[in-house]
Amino acid sequence: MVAVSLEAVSKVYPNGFHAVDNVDLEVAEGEFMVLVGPSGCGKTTLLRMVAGLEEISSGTLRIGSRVANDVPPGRRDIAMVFQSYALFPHMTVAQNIGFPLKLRRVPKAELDTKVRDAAKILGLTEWLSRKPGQLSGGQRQRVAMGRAIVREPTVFLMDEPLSNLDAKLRVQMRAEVSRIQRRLGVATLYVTHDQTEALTMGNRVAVLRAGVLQQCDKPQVLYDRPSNLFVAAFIGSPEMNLYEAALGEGASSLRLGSQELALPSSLLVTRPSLASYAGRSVVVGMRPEHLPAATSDIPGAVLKGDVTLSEGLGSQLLVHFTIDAPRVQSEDVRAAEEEQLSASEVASFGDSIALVDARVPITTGARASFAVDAERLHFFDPATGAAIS
Amino acid sequence: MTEHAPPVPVVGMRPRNRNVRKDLRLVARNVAAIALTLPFLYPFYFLVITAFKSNQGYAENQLGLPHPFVFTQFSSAWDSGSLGRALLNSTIAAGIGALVAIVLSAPAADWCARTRSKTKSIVLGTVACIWMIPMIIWIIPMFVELSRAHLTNNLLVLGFIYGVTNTPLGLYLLYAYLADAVPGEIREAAIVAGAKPRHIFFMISLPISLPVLVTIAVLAFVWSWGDVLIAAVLLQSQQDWTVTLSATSFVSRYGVSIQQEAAAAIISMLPMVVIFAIGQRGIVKGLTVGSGK
Amino acid sequence: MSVTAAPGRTGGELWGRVRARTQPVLAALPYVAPLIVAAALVVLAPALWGLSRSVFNWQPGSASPYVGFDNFRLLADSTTFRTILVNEGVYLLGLPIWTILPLLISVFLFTRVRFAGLIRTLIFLPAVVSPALLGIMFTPILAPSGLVNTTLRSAGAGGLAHAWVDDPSLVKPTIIVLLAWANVGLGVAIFTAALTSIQPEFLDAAAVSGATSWQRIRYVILPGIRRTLILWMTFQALGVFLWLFGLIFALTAGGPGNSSTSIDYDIFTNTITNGIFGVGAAESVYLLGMVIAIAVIAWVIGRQWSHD
Repeated sequence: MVAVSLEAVSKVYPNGFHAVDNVDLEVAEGEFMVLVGPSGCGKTTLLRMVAGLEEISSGTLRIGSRVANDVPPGRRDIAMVFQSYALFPHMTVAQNIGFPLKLRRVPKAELDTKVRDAAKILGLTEWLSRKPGQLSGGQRQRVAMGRAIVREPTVFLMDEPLSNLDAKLRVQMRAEVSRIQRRLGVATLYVTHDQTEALTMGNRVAVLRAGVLQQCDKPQVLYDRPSNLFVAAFIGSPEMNLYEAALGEGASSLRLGSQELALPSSLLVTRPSLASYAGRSVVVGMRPEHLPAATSDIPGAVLKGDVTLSEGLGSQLLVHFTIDAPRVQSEDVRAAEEEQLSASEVASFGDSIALVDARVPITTGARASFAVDAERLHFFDPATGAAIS
Repeated sequence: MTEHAPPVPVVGMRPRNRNVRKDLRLVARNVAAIALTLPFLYPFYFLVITAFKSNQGYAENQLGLPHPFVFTQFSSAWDSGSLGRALLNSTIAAGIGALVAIVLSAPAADWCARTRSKTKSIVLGTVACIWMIPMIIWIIPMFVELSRAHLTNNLLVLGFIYGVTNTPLGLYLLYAYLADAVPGEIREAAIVAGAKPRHIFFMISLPISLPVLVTIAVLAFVWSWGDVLIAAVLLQSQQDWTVTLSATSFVSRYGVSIQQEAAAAIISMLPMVVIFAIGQRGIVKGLTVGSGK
Repeated sequence: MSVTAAPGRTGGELWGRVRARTQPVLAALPYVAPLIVAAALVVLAPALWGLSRSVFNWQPGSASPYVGFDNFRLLADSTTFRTILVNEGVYLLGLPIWTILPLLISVFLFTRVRFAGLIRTLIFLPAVVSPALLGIMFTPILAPSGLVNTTLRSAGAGGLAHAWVDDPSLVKPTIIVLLAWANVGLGVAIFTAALTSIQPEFLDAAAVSGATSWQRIRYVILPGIRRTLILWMTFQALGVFLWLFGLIFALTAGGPGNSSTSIDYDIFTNTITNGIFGVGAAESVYLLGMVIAIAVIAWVIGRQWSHD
């Protein structure tokens, strides 16, 4: 059963700007779907269209089984949690939570029971008679959730609800929100710019960029098999290292600057399209966590780099290094057509990063060797940015 | 002023003298500041002491406290000026004015706070005209029309007009306040929860803006109380006169003594000052929030 | 209004869209209509109608023949009207006092003075009093044996005692001082708010570079509160044309003679007291013209100043 379905949904402004461009998405009953992307990618606009707070320019939105394009927000059987909680300051916690029910003229006894139940799930029972001004950020967030829960809607909509909390609280609340959602089993559409939140909380994650849906898959799939450069760079922290490289004849070798890596023939089995790129340039991606320190100096399977900085993380070392292959920022690929640059793309200039075990001796300024597992390499078309599979 | 420990004396420095001169200047400033308030308070003081003096008492002692403390001036002003009835009239008219100002401006302010449509500037512009067009220009024709409809000498009509005259104030203060206190996100949260605009207006906007509403009511009341132009134009029969109008007529009369004038002044001003004093704290809050931070 | 056709759309959904567009307008009506209707009925329509009567010999209740610009000419030739215009001009001369006094006081109270807030509140007291009540209040104070003269006499300055309100040459200056007394409090409140908006760094920088108080006022404070200054002066100038009725009505009844009459008081006398409605309407047109003129001048000066 589908809770929310978006069919070719777009939002176009009078000046021609496409905030959301032809998005197809489905959220199944009980599914936790995360919308993630850099700021300005249209994720919030998309959410607000589902809520009915923004008009849909074209396409069909279905909530439950009925078309909801022109149904007013109050009658869409949805509930929403806002980034700033949007609690009513003059009402008590109980009145805030019970507000949707009061509007529906739910009889007082039933209203009180539902409010009490919601408060219990969220641990707010002792705060029911307080006003929002007396609560902490985390508690206010829970009241906002209570107001949403009490409606027992078809779908929860959440607009970056954890962004206003401090880091530690955020980690705590992440688990809380997941727990509550699983317990209630209500389909949820959750917007965030934090890819860690996306990967840990979502059953499936939809990555958006400049209004266009890049990929929608389970978190692990997004991580293992990103469908394009943008998703590859956006998902995973620290960011994937991307280089321009030349694929040798028969796809048996990869030239990275002055170094050459040997590629096993098994690579062509798992990535058949790679064959057509033989002799041409490709973009190759290596995740920092897939560049452990080399234990032996096997030629062709080792990447050597000059260490510029190493940061201790306790059990691991974050090693910044440089190689002489040209780095690729994912925006280079579509620079001409892009209207927006995302912050994550502009961020990491210069250094490549590897994540090695802390016990490995790494000296700044010296050369370090990192073991390359060819199966863990990602390849992308340099012109389109699409993954080569 | 925070006191620091005196610095280690360096040859040539004389910290103590410097402090003394600074202190003297500060004292002089404070004294001057206090003296500043005197000319503003003195007239009120004079009114009060004069009103309680008998004619004889005043002739002997104009500036001191009343020696025989008498109420006769008050009672004679009250009677000859028909101030008692006038007080009632003023209360009714000013009260209606305050109410009407709120009833007309509150919904419009809520609408302004939530709309982005171009009609908003038309509405705001129209209301601004109420303020900017000199009263004499519309009150005379209004009088002509009302006479035709036999609605002059009518306190309800007077109160209503007072209310309309104060709507720009109400709209401005309330709009600014609501734009801040009931921002878009709160409205959206209510909408998603199923609220229609009228639900938001009655259940959220009104309760939240209570202090500003009180401010508007007090300001409108005080303004209406002090008006004499509209009252003089619309109220021909003396028994409908507001207290400001009655007191004006009274003090312009020939043969009225200074003491009676003072008494009349106090009677006509007192209720208004009292209402203002009560609502004063709310006013400061309402005005400063409304004017933005 | 275009409705984009999309596959799968039913007629019912199209109707829904139409409704969605018009509904906001209809929904807004109950909130705004009462106010707009009241404003139109009480202020706008009467004002327009009344002003239009200026070209008639307006006699409410009987025939009001068209007379062209006769009323306007009558006023322009009338010595009374000229006297009134002179009066208004004299009142406008109070502008410097009404501006400089609150400015100086607010600057003074802005520096370290104890109880500055309390003092400002006390000075504000007169602002609560409306013009008419001001007139009532000051009748005994300005009377020949009232507060002012008695104080002067007991201070030995009996020679300075005058008939403040009964002497044609003194009544207008007296009113100017009265208005200063009444408005200083409001001015101080407004200027203080403006002063707090000047960034403290500017004042500090001035103090550090050795500026005297006067220099600080001239180079830092005045530019910093320019917009407020212009607004205040405009407000005061307009007040001379819009605000004086109550005061004149209660204190001097225009007298002695016409030496303190303001335009709105004269309109009142002409129409309500003497029943010459047509001339009153023409006078109203003149008044409106003056008010608009002041507003325009203020706006132009404001633009000038903020472009410096």
